[in-house]
Amino acid sequence: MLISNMEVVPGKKITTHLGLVQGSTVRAKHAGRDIMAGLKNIFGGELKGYTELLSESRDEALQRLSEQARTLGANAVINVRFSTSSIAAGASEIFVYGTAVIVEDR
Amino acid sequence: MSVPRPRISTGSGLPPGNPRLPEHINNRNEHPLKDFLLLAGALLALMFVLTLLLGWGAQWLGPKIPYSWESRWFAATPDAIATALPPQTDNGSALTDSAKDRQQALQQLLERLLSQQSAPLKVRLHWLADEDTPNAFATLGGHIFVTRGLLTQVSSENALAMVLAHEYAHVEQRHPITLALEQLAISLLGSVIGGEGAASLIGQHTSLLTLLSFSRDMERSADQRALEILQRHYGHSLGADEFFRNMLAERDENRWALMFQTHPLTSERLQQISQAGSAAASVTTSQLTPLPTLLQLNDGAGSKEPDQITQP
Amino acid sequence: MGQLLVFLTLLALGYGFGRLAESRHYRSIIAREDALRSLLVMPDRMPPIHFQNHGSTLVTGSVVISVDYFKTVAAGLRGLFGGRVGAYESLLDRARREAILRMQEDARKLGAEAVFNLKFETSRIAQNAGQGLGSVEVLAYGTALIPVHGR
Repeated sequence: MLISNMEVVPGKKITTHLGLVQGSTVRAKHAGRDIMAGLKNIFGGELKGYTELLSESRDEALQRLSEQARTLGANAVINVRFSTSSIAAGASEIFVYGTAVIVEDR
Repeated sequence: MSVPRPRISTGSGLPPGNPRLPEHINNRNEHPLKDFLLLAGALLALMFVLTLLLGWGAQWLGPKIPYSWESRWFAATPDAIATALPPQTDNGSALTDSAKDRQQALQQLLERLLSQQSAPLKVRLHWLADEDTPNAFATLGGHIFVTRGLLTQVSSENALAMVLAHEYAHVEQRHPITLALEQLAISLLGSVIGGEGAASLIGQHTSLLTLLSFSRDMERSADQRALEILQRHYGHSLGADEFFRNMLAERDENRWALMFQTHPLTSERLQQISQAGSAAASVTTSQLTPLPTLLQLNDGAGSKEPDQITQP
Repeated sequence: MGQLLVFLTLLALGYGFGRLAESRHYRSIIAREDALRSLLVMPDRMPPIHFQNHGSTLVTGSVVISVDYFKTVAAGLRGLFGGRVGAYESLLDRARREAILRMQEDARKLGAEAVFNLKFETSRIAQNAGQGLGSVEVLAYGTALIPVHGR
């Protein structure tokens, strides 16, 4: 699955637009991580636990997006946008959406 | 619903309509209840294990805290107890005087009991003149409270001594501080896991029960120690079972329900005490020491001269 | 004991009514999606050449959906152990699809053929919710392309 946030795919021709596809996931880290993050807020520095959490979530959201696109018979998703929102303390939602398309080599 | 058909030519590469997508991709919450029960079970199990561990920690740490620290930290306990109890009905200064005397007499009795012990801990006795419930309890900081009701239940010094020695044994074995540590640890655990709500809930329930919640093991070992003290002082442990026997006879379910929850069943204790008493069957009043006059509140008890104290 | 009873009652009520509301909402969403299927919704920024003579205007659709007690507790538990918070996922899925539907209804009133450049905005409305999710607002917006007659 080709995923891009451009409107066009270089070297390829978009033959069919199939429509909106979305992927979203809400994840939380276990309480131990939250406590460590609280400590880290005193000393500063990267919150590895949360970086990991968000990138895992993003991967999963993208996977869901691809899954939706695949059921439509698409081979690419263009114009992809991410939106992250903090849903509750320690949990965040990653939402990704784009247009499922069929591309062909020129 | 009349949606205008888009005049979109098929050659434009646009679909005729929005795609129909499968439902399960962005919503996999198929069995929320199963998931919930699994997690709740895991949480309860985790809490249980942590509570056990913290309990062991407290039992290990409690006796290691120097007694002088405990006394200093909880010097204000009697005031707190006094405010927690219903206001004392003040019947004039004469009563407070006799209350002071009784308190002193109790203190002296305990000191006599402990005079043969090596390095006894310094505990303070308090007299609750307006409590008619027969009870005695030990709290943090080495304070022992004795109610007026208790004295109406005992007929010999031996029986009263048993109760005092039992409470002293709690203090000596550091049971109050152990319980306090346990509760502190559990409320900390609660605040970490459940936020403020859970912590305050636990706090409310435990602070009231501090006085009552010695475990059965603690009660049993305090009984054991109390019998030792009695044996040492009087040369026998006769009469020790009297208070518990009375309690059993006059058992008022409502009044004693709470007490029985944490105190080992009275009959069980009686059995233990009887076993310890060498010749429980041949208890005669001549072997028992009468109460000092000041402490005689039980009608028909202590017909002997008050100052006769048998020294073994 | 009383507090535990209240808690369990709330939990059961939340579960019963929450499930009922959710399945009813999903049924309504699916029915309306079918009815509005021909009104295209695309995230593409530029509409195809076909729409070059259409009029355009902004259309929006928004919805606020609240959690039930069961979801709050289930998500709280999840927060202790970590992992995917299924309780909130279905909530957001519903909210997003409902927002698109309302935007489509808005566009249909204007006689639009399609909505392009679709974008979403998600915000948490956490009044009195403390650390949890109180309710969530999803806004969907895009540009409706309306055929201009007589040209």
